[in-house]
Amino acid sequence: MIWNKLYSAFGQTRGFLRTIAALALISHGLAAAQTTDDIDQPAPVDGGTVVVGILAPRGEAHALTQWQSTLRALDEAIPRASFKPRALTLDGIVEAVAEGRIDFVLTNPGQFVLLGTPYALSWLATLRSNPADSAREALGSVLLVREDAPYTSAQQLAGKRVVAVHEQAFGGYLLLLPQLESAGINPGALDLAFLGYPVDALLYQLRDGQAEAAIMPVCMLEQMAAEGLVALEDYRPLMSRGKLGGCLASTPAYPDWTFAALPHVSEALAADVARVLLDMDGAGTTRWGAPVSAARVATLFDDLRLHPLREPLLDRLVDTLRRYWHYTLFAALLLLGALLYHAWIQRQAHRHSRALQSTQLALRERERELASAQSLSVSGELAATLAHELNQPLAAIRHYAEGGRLRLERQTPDSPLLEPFSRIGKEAARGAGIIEQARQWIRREPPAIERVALDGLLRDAVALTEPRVRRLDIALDWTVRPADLAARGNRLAMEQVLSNLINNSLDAFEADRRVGWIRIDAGYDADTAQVRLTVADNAGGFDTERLSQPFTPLDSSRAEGLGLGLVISRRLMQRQRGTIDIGNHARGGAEIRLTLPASTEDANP
Amino acid sequence: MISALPVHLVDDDAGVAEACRYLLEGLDLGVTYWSSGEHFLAGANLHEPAAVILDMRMPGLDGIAVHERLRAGNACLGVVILTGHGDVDLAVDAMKRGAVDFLQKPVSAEALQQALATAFERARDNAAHRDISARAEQLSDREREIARCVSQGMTNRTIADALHIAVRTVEVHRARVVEKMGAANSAELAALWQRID
Repeated sequence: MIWNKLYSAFGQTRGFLRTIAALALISHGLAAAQTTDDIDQPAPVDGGTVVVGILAPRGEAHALTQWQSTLRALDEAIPRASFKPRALTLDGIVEAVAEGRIDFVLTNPGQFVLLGTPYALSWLATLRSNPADSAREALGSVLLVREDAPYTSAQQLAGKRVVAVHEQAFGGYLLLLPQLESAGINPGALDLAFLGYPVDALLYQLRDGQAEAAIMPVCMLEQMAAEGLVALEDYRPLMSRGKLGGCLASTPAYPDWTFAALPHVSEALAADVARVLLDMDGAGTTRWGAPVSAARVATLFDDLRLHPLREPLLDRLVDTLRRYWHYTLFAALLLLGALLYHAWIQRQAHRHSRALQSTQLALRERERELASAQSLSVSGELAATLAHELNQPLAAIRHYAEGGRLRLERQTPDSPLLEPFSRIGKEAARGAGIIEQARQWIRREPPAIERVALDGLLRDAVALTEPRVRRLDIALDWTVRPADLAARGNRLAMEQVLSNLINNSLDAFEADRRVGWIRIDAGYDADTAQVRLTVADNAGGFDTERLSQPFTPLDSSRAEGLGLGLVISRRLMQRQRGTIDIGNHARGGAEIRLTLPASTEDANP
Repeated sequence: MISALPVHLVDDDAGVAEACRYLLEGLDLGVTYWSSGEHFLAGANLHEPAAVILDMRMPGLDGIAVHERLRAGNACLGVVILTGHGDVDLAVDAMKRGAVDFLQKPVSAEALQQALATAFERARDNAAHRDISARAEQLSDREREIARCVSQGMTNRTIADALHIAVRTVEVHRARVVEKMGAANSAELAALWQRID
């Protein structure tokens, strides 16, 4: 079955899915049931063998004996039908009615109320067990203990074994339940055992000490005593409400048993049966009266939340689903579709976020690469600067030493100071040699020259500085014309230069707490076959002192920083056979011009 | 050691320059100190034979740039470049452009002395070349023709035949050319002419 497959397919997923599949299953099952009902429409029963389902609280033999007179009267009065009794238990009656295996039912009013509405039973007559009493007050329950038992109230039964017939037995557990609850006893506190029919067994267990109390229909004890089975004085009731029809009772009285017809019985037959029942009169025969209201039973069930018209929510839902199974199926499919769509969307979102994450990672990787290149450049530049600056005094020392030695040699050729003078010169040379070695060691390989597409270069360089640009609220724009412009240079070095220049601008904006713009334009100069890059801002520009010596290291206009940005940029540009040139533009800002040889290679060789 | 010429010292670092001057004076050389390339180009007599020591790293015009200007101005100075960094590319480049030497600081007295000796030689050479060229400028077309023929070792008769003029005329021109070029005789004229032709 497709639904089963679907169900198992979804079985491992969330509860939500499971619910959907279950709903679909229910609706499908109900649909099948409905279809069966529609097909099997039997003709009304009007004669032949007619089965009367009889509730048999004390067993089949007892039931057949008890109702023998009634069935015989029916058989005699209605020749076209032959009435056959069938003794049933509580569950048996429900099952038989549901499956339509019986035609009439003879049961207690509780069961009639439960079954009556759902299965459209027709109420024909109410039993009059004792003609002296009212048919409206015939049934009840009694909670019996042994006469010699220590119990004086029902509360003392907590944890004790209490026997009953069935949790749905009307003249028994069901009637006693509200009494127990109103007495403040939780039925769960009792050690309840439901033994089923016959009822006699309950009393025997009580008698034999196998149970401490028994919940029985009223008059059952009295009947059994009259039959000589037990002794009446051996038992006493708890929660006594006096006598009911001369019997011990623990509950109010409810209407007597009912004779009812199932809906497939013809109206004529039902009317004939009712007439016969009402006409039955005479000693030794069962007497029947007009049906009495079962309203009090319904009220009781209401209290117990058992009323058939007050079905639990689930039942009502199932019923609705059964009625509108087409819509249910459609809704289930729609839901399934929506669910799949949702899953698809989620997958897309997941994939998208993964892609975003990897872009983020790549960007961070670039940042790291750039930072490491920059720090290498910084250390290289620092070493070069240090080497130069230290070399100067060393040169001076050597010059003085040599100059002094020359003079001394001329005046006093055998002076003992000649040797130290010579040593001073050599030591200075050695110091310079060490510095030079260190500088050579730090100096990096010339960068590999490759094709660098300007569009991608600027996009990445801008992305790398984007967080800071956004934080300082700077408008950073860039253009590349033509769009496929490419230079010959080193990608990482160019990123380093651009990021240095952009960061210089941002430093200037930040220092002045200014907001403004940065523009980067890349174009092609046909005369020189060069790529020209201009980085401009409106952060005030360079002062004249800086402009006169722009590439002097260790001369930063910033409080922090080494002032190496421009020096490094120039060295990087030189290494790529490019140029860098700084200046101011007329609108109050810096303008840095870069050139690189243009690439003539194809974008996709 | 060949006789010394004046030495120009161009360096922005006064401390180092002072030390260098001390060393050069120890070598009995006359030193003029310039604190920048611009000052040097503006103030020094660039046509007097001399040597110049240029520092590579200077703000404004650096050593390479000053050298470039000297070449462009036909100066007859012998150029020695000093650098703090042994930048091979720059050194090769500078030598190609006619620098005498490219020394790495701190330089020894010996190395400096040798470099300067070469520079002096170059300066004298340059100056002589310039003098000969200047004298050759004063010759007439005919005289220049005859000077070229003499430098190729031709006799008066051969020259007369080649130029379709009288041998006497050749003799007169030849005497005037020797005199104008400041040569002692025809052999010296031939040597001079070979240097400029």
